[in-house]
Amino acid sequence: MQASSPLALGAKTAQNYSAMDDFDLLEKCKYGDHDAFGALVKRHQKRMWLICRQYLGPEEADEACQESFIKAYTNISKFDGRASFTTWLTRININTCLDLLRSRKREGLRITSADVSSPDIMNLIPDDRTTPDQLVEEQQAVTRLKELEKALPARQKEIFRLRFYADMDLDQIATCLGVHIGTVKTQLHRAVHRLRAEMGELR
Amino acid sequence: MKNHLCEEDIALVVAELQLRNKAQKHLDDCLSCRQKVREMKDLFAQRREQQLIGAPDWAQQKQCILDRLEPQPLEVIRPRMLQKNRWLPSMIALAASLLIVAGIGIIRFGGDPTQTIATTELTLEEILAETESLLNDDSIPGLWVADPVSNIDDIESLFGNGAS
Repeated sequence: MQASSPLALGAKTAQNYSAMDDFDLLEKCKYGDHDAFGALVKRHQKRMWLICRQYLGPEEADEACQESFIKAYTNISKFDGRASFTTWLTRININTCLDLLRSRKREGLRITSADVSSPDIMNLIPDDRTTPDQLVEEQQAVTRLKELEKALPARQKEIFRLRFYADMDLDQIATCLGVHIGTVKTQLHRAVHRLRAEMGELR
Repeated sequence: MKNHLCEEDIALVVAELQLRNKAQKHLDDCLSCRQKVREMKDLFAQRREQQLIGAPDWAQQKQCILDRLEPQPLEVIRPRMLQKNRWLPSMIALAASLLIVAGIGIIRFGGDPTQTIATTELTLEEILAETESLLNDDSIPGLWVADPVSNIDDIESLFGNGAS
């Protein structure tokens, strides 16, 4: 009988982890299993990064995303399983982004207090950060849409982006933002209706 | 429903929210309305694709996260009992403090411990004499010494005495 090579054994373990659900992986993480946490990172990192991007833009999204995962790991024993791991992690993620926006606002206030007129930190969400070259390449309609998104009220913009660009479902958005699901539906409907109406005017 | 969907309804469909039954039925049958919905959805999808511009290398990001982790979560290292009851350490400390204070109080204000030994008014000689007299007295209740000789042959006296 041949002994398995360490490489083959590692691949086998990784395969086992990918077959496990979040709760089983979390149990392993609680006893310091980094590989199990690595599997969780791999499973959720893209979506978490997309959420961070909606709040902070691509440059800062990576750092915020990493920070969120580290916060989740250090507080893993506090996860009680009442919500799904995805919801819990998303909440941490959004809070990390909001903390960064708040610190950005404080720095902004220190430098030019007159520039910041609105107390709503959601207004600090950047509209987009693509380079001019990329802008040229974009289709006209998409560019219009991007511009129109800027004009949406802060809450509508947040909900719209989380739903369509970060792939979050309505329940998750409601839980993570601490609002009623009816509010989410209303705001989303208004955002889409407004975007569509203004796109129609531009056509 | 003969009329096409209004803008409100189109927005509902695009947002993937629930549509009235009649409107839904019309949408199922109307190519023009479905086209409007598809156009808007396609636009959002294109915009969504742009979101991945500037995305990091996922494997590298994962490695960065794992490199930044502590060897083990601090909460796990702590005993489970302490995790569940956060007041327990404080209560243990308080109980220990009370014990120390009580101990000091007994030592300082409790007086001479030899004083606590029970004293008696009788002397040792008196106790011994009393004991001796008790032992010499055959009339202690329950300790009657039966005379094996007298009336042993007299069966009637035995029965008369209540013996069985």
